[in-house]
Amino acid sequence: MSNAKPIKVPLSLPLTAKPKKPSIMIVNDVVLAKKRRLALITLWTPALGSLLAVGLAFVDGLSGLDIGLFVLMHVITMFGLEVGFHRYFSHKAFKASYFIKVFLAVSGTMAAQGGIQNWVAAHRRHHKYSDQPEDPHSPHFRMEKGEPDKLGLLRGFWHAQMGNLVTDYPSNATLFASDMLRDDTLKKINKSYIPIVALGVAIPTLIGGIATMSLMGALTGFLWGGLVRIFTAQHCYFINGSFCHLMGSKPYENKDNSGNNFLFALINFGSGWHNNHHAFPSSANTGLEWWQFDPSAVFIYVVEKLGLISEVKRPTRQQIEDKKSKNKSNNSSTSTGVTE
Amino acid sequence: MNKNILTTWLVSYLSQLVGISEEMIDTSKELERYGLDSTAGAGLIGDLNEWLSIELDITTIYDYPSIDLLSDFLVEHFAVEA
Repeated sequence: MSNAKPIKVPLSLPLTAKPKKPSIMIVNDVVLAKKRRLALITLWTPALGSLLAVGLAFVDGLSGLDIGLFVLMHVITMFGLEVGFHRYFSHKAFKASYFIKVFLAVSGTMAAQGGIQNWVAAHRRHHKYSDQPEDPHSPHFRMEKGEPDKLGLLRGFWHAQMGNLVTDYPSNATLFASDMLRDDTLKKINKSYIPIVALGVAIPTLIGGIATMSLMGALTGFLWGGLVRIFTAQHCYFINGSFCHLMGSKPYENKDNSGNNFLFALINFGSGWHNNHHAFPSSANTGLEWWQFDPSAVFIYVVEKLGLISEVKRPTRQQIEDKKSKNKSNNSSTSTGVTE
Repeated sequence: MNKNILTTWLVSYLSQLVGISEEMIDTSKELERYGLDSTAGAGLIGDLNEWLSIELDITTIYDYPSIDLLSDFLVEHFAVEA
């Protein structure tokens, strides 16, 4: 219908109607089509760029500068995601100065995994419904057209790693993360999603071009510091949804399949202590034992000592032991229950 | 159509959505000020369509971005069937 025509259209209005509870997903095909288009571009451009970069490296070799740009940008992006989007914005694990807040929001946005509000909303929804059908990226279930769908191993892995971004209705970002848009700075950063992603690609391109004074240097800087880095940060991070909910040790009973895994924790900057994380979601540290190396906890420790963040939440030894022993007593009660 | 009914519905809807009390909502303020993003805006129009059995385009929310503007628009364009 045309909005411009001032013709009164008759309708019957149920006078007593109260709005129903807001849904956790936006079930609208126009919105889904928009999300799908953006997801396909953000997943495939870096993937194809990475192929090109590797091909070029076989022909021309790979310079130290390009490796440096890749590592630098990858590390900034991963800290932006894990320390920023994840521990700070989604879980409020500490209080940050304005500078740190902007730095984390911008560097996380550069990862091209969606704007801050959508990212935080999907993550909070993941915690609320972890490994249930309403989880946005569980390898075990998905919600297809409002009906729960049990996923097999391969389909589940694919869905949790990437598929959900392309095929599933978006989370209701306002329901889960209206706090992100009520903050003027974060609102601006959320709206500047594409310019910030472009900036993250432009920086290594410029450095590569200027340092070598060549177009080829700009191109390889663009590829390694830009597209390859987005590709690696995407897949290093998405293993949180896939592998971290498929395998690993479970010292805490979380009512989901989150597991701890040393290798994944190295790859995703600490989030691979995923069973710990689901046991203590608002903790600034995911490594809870001395040997559980957690790169993001080191970052948080350093900025805390510099006085840039405060009120850092970490569970006490007692809280950790309590939760573990609760787990043990639950286990023993269920094991006796089996004989019944 | 009675504007009050629409306003009450929209205030109640927004209050549930963003988790603030109904008294805190200013109907003249842009919905975005309460953290309503474009996807949830589309969701709101969808739920409004369902409630009133109408077919507004999801872009309606961009043209009428506050509760007052949206309910004025509806009052102007739709009439309650007697």
